[in-house]
Amino acid sequence: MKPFQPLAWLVLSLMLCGIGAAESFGAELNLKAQLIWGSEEPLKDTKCPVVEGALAEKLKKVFKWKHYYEVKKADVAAPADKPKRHTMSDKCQIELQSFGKADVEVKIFGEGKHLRTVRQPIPPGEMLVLAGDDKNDTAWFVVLTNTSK
Amino acid sequence: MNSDLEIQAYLDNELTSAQARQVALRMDKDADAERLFRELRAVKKALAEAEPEHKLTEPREFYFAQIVQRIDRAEALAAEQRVEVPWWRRAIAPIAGVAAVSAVAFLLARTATPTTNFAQETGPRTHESGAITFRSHADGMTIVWIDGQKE
Repeated sequence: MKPFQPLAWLVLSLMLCGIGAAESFGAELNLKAQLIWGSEEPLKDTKCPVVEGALAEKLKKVFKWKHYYEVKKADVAAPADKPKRHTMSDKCQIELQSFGKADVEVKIFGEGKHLRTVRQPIPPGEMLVLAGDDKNDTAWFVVLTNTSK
Repeated sequence: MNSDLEIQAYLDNELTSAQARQVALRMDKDADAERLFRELRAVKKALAEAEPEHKLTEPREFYFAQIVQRIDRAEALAAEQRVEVPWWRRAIAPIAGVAAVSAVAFLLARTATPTTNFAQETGPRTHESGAITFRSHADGMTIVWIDGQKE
């Protein structure tokens, strides 16, 4: 056996390992973030658009609230190297970090306080919804949708 | 020690002087013990006499020297046939094997979809302190309800 052949296989294998390692250790993930407010009764004095369509149906299927309003919508990024904070409203912030293969860690802050850290894969086309109740029998929802294909 | 074993040991000169004296005294008084001793002695003598004698064709020293010579020759031959391989060449095969397996594992992991870890059914999934996680596979949605808004 020629001495070059084992070396060539070794180099090729190490290159493939490096590529695989880079892939699994994370790439930035692009998400659509929506802050939504849910209410039992329709809100008359709000400028927020009503959430309609498939998202509204999904939320109504799970939650008791009948009316949903979009407070803010933004395209956000979950970087791989360090977490990035995004402001959804005066009282709501989220911090995102990607860990590869659509695995995302989300830290949610309400009125400056850290409420929860959630780590969850969000496959392309799917969504992660963080939710909690608010005063006057309303609720807040942070919907993160993986918009990659 | 068992009395029969003591008699066997006495026959084989494996007892101390004091023990041997005691056994001899017992055999003087005990006819069964004395009979056992005689039987054991007869068996020992018969075995010794019946062992076939193997006669060497050459003197003992010469025979042994031949054995030593054959061993030395075999060792020298084995040393000649052993080829000195550099350490880095010896390490190539196992390292290449490990690297190849790792590469395949990474490539397979890349093609796996994250949804394989999800529960398939709709319904309550986990209940941690302060949060309930709920997965709807049909709707492609994972919900984390934060209870009391505190972690």
